[in-house]
Amino acid sequence: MKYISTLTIAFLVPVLLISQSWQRKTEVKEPPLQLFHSTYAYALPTAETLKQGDYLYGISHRFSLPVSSGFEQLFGIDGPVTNMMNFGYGLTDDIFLNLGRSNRESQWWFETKYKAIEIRNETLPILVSFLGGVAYSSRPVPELKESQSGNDWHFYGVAIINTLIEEKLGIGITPTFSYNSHLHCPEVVNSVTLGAYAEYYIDDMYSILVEANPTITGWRDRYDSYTVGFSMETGGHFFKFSVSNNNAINIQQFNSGAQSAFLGGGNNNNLYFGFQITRNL
Amino acid sequence: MRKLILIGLALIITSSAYAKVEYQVDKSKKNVVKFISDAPIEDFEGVTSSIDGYMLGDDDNFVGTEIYFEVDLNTLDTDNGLRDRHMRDNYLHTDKYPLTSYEGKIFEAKKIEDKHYLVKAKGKFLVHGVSKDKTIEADIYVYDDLYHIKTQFVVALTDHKIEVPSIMLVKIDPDMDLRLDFFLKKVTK
Repeated sequence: MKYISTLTIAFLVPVLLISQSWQRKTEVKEPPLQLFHSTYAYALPTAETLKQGDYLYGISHRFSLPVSSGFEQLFGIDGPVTNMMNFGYGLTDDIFLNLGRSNRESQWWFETKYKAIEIRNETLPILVSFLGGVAYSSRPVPELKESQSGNDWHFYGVAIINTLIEEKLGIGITPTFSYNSHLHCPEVVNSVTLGAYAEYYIDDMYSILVEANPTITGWRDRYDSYTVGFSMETGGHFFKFSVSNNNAINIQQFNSGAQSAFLGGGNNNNLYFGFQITRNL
Repeated sequence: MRKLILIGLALIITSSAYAKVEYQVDKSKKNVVKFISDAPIEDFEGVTSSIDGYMLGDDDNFVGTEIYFEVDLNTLDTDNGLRDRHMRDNYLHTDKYPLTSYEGKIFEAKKIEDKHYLVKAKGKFLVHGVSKDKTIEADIYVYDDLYHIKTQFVVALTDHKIEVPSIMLVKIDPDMDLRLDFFLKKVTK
């Protein structure tokens, strides 16, 4: 017995010595927490940013004639149209810059979004970002400047809270403060809105989304804004189609309320068709 | 006395084992792993330096050397954040299968020129949780305590139950070209 144990030790020790000593030196890297797929649900921002150095180019239309104008006006697509272009850039993985121009009130706008908080939780992951924006309604036609009152500069701040349930249902809320929320108010008026949206990811490519943007206090056009639509994601593109009772597209103008009711049987329950194409580069 | 003799004999028998040396991936060097896909619309490369692993064998002969290498797929950079995410979430499912690895043994080694060897290894390539037998060829350049390894091989995505991605409904190449260029350093115990 003694000999057996001695032999075992004598054989095992060298074997142990020659076995590899390699061990994984670093933990497997966790990718960034990403809940929504794009940087905007439709008009309202998500907490997502771009990867550092990535670009984004977007073009959006919201047609001014309502869908109810029927086939003769191709459900509003004949125009006229609110047109917006934007160019985004990932300054860092957490800071997103976005410059845009809308033909409505000839408005330029610039936003910075900062991804501030990531809470990794299997049931309820949470991302919180903050967005600050400035918009300038240039109104280049002199007659317009004379006939319309109001302050051309607008400022807004948004807190964006996102979660994703079962990797399928993205939910976001966007409490927003807007300074000088409407261009044509003679005095500066402010608004506080509580935007909310949900996007259900049907599969890797398709999702449906709804947005609501009720005004809590301050100035609002005649109605709160609502949007429903769907999104198709392929390659580096997002194609989004929607109807809304608000024919503005960018945050500052969208926050000032809708011109029509979303639902109801009255004469003023118009929905406007719109689409966006965004390319991430 | 008998004990000593026995231990001595055992050590002599296993002395060849003592000759085995271990090399581990040298993280301080410029290691490059590329996943290359050719597509009619858009070619892309996923690049990472996050390779780790070892070689364990005789110092003077590569045949019989055990090899193990792994790559952290979460670190793949395709130069586009959205594409990185698609690759991770939609195709490689890195939340479940973060690592791809190759584990095998060199069975053939040919000296091409001084310090340059061409070796063949048989082993298992694992990605997306599916392991397949794979024979690979590699060039090994030997510099003092350093091995410089270059290899490339093709992986059929469907072999590993990876859905072949499509861009605008056009399927991309179902084969992924892997190219590895990395360094190992001798471990001193």
